[in-house]
Amino acid sequence: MMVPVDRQLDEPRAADQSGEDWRLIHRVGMGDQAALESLYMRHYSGLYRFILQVTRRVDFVEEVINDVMFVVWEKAAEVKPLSKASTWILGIAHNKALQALRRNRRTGSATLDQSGYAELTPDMDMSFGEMETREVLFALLRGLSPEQRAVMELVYYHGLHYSEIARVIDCPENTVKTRVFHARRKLREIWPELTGTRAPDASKTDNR
Amino acid sequence: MDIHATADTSTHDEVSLLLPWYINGSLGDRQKTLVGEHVRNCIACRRQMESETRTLAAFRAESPLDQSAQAGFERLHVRIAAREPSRSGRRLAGAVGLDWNRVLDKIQSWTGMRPGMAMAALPLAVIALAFGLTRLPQQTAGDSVYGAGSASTARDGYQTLSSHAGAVAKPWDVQVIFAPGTSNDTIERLLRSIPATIVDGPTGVGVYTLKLPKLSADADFQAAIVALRARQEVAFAEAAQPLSIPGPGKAKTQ
Repeated sequence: MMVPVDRQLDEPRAADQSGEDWRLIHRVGMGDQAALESLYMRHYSGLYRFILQVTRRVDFVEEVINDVMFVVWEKAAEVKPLSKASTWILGIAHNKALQALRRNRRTGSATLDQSGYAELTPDMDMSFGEMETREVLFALLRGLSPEQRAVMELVYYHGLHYSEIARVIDCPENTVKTRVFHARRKLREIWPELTGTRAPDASKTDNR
Repeated sequence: MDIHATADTSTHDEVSLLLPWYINGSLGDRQKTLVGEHVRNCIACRRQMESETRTLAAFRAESPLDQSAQAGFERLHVRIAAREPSRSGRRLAGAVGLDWNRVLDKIQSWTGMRPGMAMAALPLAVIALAFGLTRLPQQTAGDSVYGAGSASTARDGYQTLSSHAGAVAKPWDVQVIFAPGTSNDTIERLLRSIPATIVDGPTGVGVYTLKLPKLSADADFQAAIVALRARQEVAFAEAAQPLSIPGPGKAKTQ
């Protein structure tokens, strides 16, 4: 039997982290920029990944992160600590990332995938083992919609429960479950390696 | 109708939906037990579980992307300072008309000092100001940090470095703050390599306006700004006039 990834030991640490996050947010609400800097550094990496995954625009990421943290700065005095702080911050990030995509569509500038992301496109002459798993995943995820990539990142990287994801993306829990279900199925189609059958076929990922 | 078969199918469907959260360890005890018991007896779910485990490992593999949090925060700091210098609890507006909060902010942003250290350095800044060694932009009530309001200020609700009241910026001029400690020689080398020329500055807060060579498209101009931001010697780079699409952030692929 497969043993689930046991994150029980991480849970108290996660609670502590959220407690510390809320303490920092409280200080940010009082205008403490040092607290904002601490919060920024604690969440930068996770936000970077999440926003990049949703937008596929390296050149958007930092702008969106700063939009997110600017909202944190402005709203910190009002927000109530009713959930994990990361859930609140990721919810802002989700909105800002989708807003950036909408702006991008209006202006017609190229997405990362359209403008070429050659360094992260799997080399079909290489075996799966020779490729960086993360790079393969990033390239193949372009076959999913931004909304699907968002939920996948929240499940598999951020480790959020479906109820937390529902709060982040502001939709019913059942919608989260079905969205993840369809995203998983699509990912297995474009990346049969996940089921241990054969090498990934990047040509199937082009959803344009 | 086979009630047990229906119940099994229902459980299988539910477990199939819950597998990602079983794998990421976020399920509560009841659902964790439900999934664990079903998976023991269901080959299809066991195979899905293996797939889920690989997916989780792939997502948590180290990111290939280089990231620069500190430079990003510096830009956020500038944005906040431009928006609302008065919200900080450290604001110490004095009778002589100086905005001490801005002095503190500038000390922090230029030296990378923590607030406490910046406070300690404040007397030195006062001495420097007294002897005219540095200059802060004048601020009047209702203005934001970098000068009088502009059309873009009214529209956006805040003011950026690009709207500072200095020489009139032309299209494709770039406003830049060099990293603390960057020597003049290094700046000159950087400008020669672009190539770019300084057309204005530094302002009292160290903003230079650079003229870039004539570029054929906005995209080229954006790429030039991204390249500038990627340089270690550059702490801040932004179009002197607003671009039609969001400005790129500092991020590098390896």
